Amino acid sequence: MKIFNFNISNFYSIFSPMQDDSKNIDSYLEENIRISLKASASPNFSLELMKRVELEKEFAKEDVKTERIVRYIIGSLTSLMVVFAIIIGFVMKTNEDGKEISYFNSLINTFSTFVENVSLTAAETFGFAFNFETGIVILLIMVCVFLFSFAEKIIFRKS
Amino acid sequence: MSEPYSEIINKIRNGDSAEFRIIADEMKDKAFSLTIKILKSKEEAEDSLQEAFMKLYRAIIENQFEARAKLSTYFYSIVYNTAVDNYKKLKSKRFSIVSIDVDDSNFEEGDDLLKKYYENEIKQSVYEERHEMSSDKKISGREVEKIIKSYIGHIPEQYSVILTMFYINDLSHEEISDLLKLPIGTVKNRIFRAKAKLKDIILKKYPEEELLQYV
Repeated sequence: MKIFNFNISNFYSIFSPMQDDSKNIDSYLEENIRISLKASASPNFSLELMKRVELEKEFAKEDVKTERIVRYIIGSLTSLMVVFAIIIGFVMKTNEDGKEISYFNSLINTFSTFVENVSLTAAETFGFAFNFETGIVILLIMVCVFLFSFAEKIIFRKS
Repeated sequence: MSEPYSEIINKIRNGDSAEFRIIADEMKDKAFSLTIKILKSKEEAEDSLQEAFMKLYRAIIENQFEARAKLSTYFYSIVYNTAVDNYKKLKSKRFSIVSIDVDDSNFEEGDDLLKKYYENEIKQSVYEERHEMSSDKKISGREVEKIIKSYIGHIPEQYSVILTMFYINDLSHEEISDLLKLPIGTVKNRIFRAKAKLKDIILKKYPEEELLQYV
């Protein structure tokens, strides 16, 4: 037995055999407007784009590495300063008590001799000695360099 | 999440940048159609589009459009804004599409240009084409298509950009209105007027019955 399968694609056409001409012209025009507006980028556009994406990815990796290193350096310096401050505080306190602490005294003496020697060498070589003022200037320069590199990084990223 | 690209976006965020090519391949031509309407030059349009894609890539990596419903809408807004910025940089003067956000006087400006185009360009191009064609006096579908192409190529930006956003980028009237900061009525009006003008031009040239053969 043969089975006939009817597929009605335009159901409404059964009831309204007269076509809406105006609507057809409109859709014809719209279709052509669509075709006319379309433009195509170069065939190698995606390839070039993906090269840029890969570069961006590499830069991002490098940024993460640099950030990690900077974080380690800042962390180490901070902990070193904290440890140093604790030691100094401890030494000062014991000195106030008037106790004999030959080990700490000799440590301070060694440190001050080292600073003195470095200061003398710097004075001979560069013409300035390490004292409180030069320390402040060096610290300020370091802060400026840090701030500049930080700001540049942010601006570079945003642009 | 209704976003069709959500899986790809997640993969990109997890470091699989090669997946970005799927988005690029799918959107590049549609986005280029919009960029070229603004920048006119192919090289400049491609550079601008590369920039827009890189902005999209960074936005994906940095989770910037988490709350947005559609990646395509978000991307086309980047494409449009980047192209306008580049136009301003390149020409270092007011972008002609600035007229997009002004009042009804722009319609007149647009219509004038369309009228001028109709008088000077269409007659020439169509008649040249007709001359080249066979002795058959009937119009061909190609002829009508050429007129439409020529018309679209000459309409001012305040029309062509909106038409591209609507027909090529599949943005809704509301989305175009948000993006261009124009009243929704203006957006609808411009689409309607551009279409009506084209229909008028075509129907003036060819009888409706004849045209219906190619529909």
